[in-house]
Amino acid sequence: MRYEAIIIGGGLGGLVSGIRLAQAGRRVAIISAGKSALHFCSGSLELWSKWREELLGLSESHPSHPYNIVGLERLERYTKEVKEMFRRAGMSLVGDFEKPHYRLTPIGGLKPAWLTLEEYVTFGAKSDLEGRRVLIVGLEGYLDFYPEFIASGLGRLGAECRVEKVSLPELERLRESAAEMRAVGIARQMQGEALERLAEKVSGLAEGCDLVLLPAVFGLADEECFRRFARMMKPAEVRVAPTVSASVPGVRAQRLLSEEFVRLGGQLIQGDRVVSYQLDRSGRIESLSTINHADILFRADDFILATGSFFGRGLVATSENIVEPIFGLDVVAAEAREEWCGEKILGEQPFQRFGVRVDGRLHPLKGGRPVENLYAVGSVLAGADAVKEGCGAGVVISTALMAADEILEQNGKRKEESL
Amino acid sequence: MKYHKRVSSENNFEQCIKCTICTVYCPMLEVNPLYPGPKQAGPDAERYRLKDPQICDEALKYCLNCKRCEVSCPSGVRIGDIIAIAKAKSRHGHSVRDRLLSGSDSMDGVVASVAPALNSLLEKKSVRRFMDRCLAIDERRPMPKYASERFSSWFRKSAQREQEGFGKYVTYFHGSYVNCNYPELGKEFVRILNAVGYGVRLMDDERYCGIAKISSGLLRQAERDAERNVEAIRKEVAEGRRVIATSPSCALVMREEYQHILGIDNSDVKNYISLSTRFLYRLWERGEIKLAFKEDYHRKVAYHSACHMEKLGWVLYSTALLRLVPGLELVMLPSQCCGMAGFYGYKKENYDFSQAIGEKLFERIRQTGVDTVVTDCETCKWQIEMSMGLEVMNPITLLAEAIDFEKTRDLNQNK
Ligand SMILES: Cc1cc2nc3c(=O)[nH]c(=O)nc-3n(C[C@H](O)[C@H](O)[C@H](O)COP(=O)(O)OP(=O)(O)OC[C@H]3O[C@@H](n4cnc5c(N)ncnc54)[C@H](O)[C@@H]3O)c2cc1C
Ligand code: SF4
Ligand code: SF4
Repeated sequence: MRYEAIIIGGGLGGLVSGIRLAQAGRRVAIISAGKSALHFCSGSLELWSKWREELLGLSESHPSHPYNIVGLERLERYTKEVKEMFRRAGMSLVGDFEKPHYRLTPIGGLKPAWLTLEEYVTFGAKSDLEGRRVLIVGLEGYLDFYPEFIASGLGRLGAECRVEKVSLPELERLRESAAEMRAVGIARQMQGEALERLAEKVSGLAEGCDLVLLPAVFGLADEECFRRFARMMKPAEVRVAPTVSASVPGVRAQRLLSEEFVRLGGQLIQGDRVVSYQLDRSGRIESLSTINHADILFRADDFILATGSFFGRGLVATSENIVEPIFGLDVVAAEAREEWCGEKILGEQPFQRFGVRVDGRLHPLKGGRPVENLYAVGSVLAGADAVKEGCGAGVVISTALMAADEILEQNGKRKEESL
Repeated sequence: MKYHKRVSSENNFEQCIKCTICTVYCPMLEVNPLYPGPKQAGPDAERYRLKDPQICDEALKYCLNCKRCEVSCPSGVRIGDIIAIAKAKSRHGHSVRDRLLSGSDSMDGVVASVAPALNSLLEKKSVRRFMDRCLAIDERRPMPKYASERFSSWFRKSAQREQEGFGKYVTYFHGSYVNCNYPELGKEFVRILNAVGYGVRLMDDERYCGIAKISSGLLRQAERDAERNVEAIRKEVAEGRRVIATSPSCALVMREEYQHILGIDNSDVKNYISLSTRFLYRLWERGEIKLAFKEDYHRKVAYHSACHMEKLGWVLYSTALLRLVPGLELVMLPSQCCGMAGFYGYKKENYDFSQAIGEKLFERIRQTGVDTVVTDCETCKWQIEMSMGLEVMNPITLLAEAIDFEKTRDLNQNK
């Protein structure tokens, strides 16, 4: 099979690159071994866990951070562009690069964020919580949401919080199965009468409150579900708070971005793993082999590696070292196994920064030399600590768009030369 | 037995990182809270089954063997295979019925000779009621029609002689569906292959691929057939021929499940087993064959990605081939299970779940407003035809309708 560009990995990085290239009219395919880390999305695309000033000094404080390759100027532009990309795919993000806001964590903490899905609660400043009367509603039998923690977190900032639990007959049924009393199982029930009943019950409890928080269990396929619910809830403002385990808005994001990619003419090949590659005589990557397609190779002019970190097996830890399993690219990692992990689980974890080494145009290195028609994007890259720095999606989006732009630019040049 | 050995050491349940992604994509879990879901029924319970193989779960019988969990799992856990093996060991369900639905090669000849009578018998309300009450085959589900002449008989009588003199050959694995229920598909396949310059052979002793038996947990019976098939395929491959199926489930089971579930080593021949559309598209893409289409052809169809096509990852070949047809308007349906899963939907205890799963797909089909659906899988065809009354075609059938055979033969300078 022949394409102009092939992307390995269909997580946030692969999809964002893919949409950009497909939109520019390229024949592009994404090959993905399984679903991605998007399923655990907290509701925010994180750019940096502290404030903007710190980003300005990044080239000195964190010289090997991928943001230094992208540059702040492009980071700012890409943040705007991705908001527009999400909008076209059917998701509204609030916030922007100039003015960060606070998002809520599942255990009631506040963290700075730049872009957050509209249905999630955000606060302009911590002082906004002073005197707010907040109702936090849990669902009977649902254990992946912690209203008490949220209440105590917001309470510390001066909000008056009340916690209530509601039950719905539609959810009773789910209790028969341990697997289904999860955000996704609940979201499947949240339609028609169940949605109305929930709105009615919650409205009854919301007397005297100016903000109502519920777990993010609305709309596996579209945003409309939550909007419909919110309209029924007037006059109180209603928002969702993150849950743990597979996240409903994350599942929706995976789906809507995939559909957008296909709608733009992209070829999405799911459930298949790229296992090896072939070089042409000049040393460029010519094709890829996968498990399912075996002897039929995937050929392209350019390739993007968006295989993620350890979670999706973009990086693999063997008993001796850390490897990038497809191409055997150069990896930045501590040599001694004892140095992979920090002692405190919530402390600094060195393995978070492990990843593929790239040059200034995102070409990964192999044996110290850049691989010319390959680009590495997203969490497979070395240098960032998504957890400590809160820069997971920011690194993914900015490098994904940059690689796509590089490909478009190089292609443009190649075309000009051949004219 | 081989699969008992495999299960304790070689399947990869320990790769599961408990991310729960598979539970999001299981169509059965969505409609049936009694089903524990892929994570729990698969890798989670496997730990306990390793301690005590007798630990089994009645609810495993709900699994459709659709493999959508495997397609979504980022860790490559063979969830469907783990469940299929566990299910076979526990064996709940209706064994006379399961054997009947899974079929036996020795009966096929008899069935064909009495096909017209059998068809009208199976249409009778009283007979369907009897099957429902005594065999737990749901009376609301019409049985597939039997052809009065088996494909293999037709081929040997009317087509074999014409296969002489081609420079290149493939071996056709027709499977029980083409052989007993829908020989036309096989005839169309032969016609297209001949037109592009390939002669067609059949295996000396083709057995059922075994998908129905594996799904019903009848592994020992499946194993016998599988061993003979692998032997026969080896012979074809040794003589330089690929083995091509028109049914994606036949291709999947022979490529993957023979090894993963039955423990039969097929690694030497696995990659010579392919699907009609994949085989044709690959030749076309390399410029080794040419296709000419009728000039006045027009049709609008929606393409449904069958579960086993999704698992094979081969949807792109069927759709790429269809996109070659000028005058064909192709709407892609979102990939989801139709609920039928082979003979699963025939079993009385499954009928309602089967239709509840299918309804979500039917709704999407209705929205497209087409009157024809194209899908590679025969049992999706039964399900959509029965539930919606639409025409459902295999891509090969559509190609046979759209191809200008005379021109195509000329272009390929046949024989
Ligand atoms: C549990 C978790 C929660 C997170 N939550 C957040 C959050 O709320 N906000 C935030 O900003 N960031 C978050 N992050 C950070 C996260 O890494 C990024 O936001 C982002 O989703 C990563 O995207 P990616 O495309 O780089 O990789 P992934 O999402 O991991 O996608 C990689 C894809 O490549 C596929 N793949 C791997 N190898 C192959 C191969 N050989 N062949 C084919 N396909 C292959 C995988 O199956 C996978 O689908 C989280 C990360 C994790 C692990
Ligand atoms: S998707 Fe795979 S790794 Fe995740 S819970 Fe299911 S089986 Fe385990
Ligand atoms: S094979 Fe299908 S029905 Fe069975 S567990 Fe997996 S997704 Fe569910």
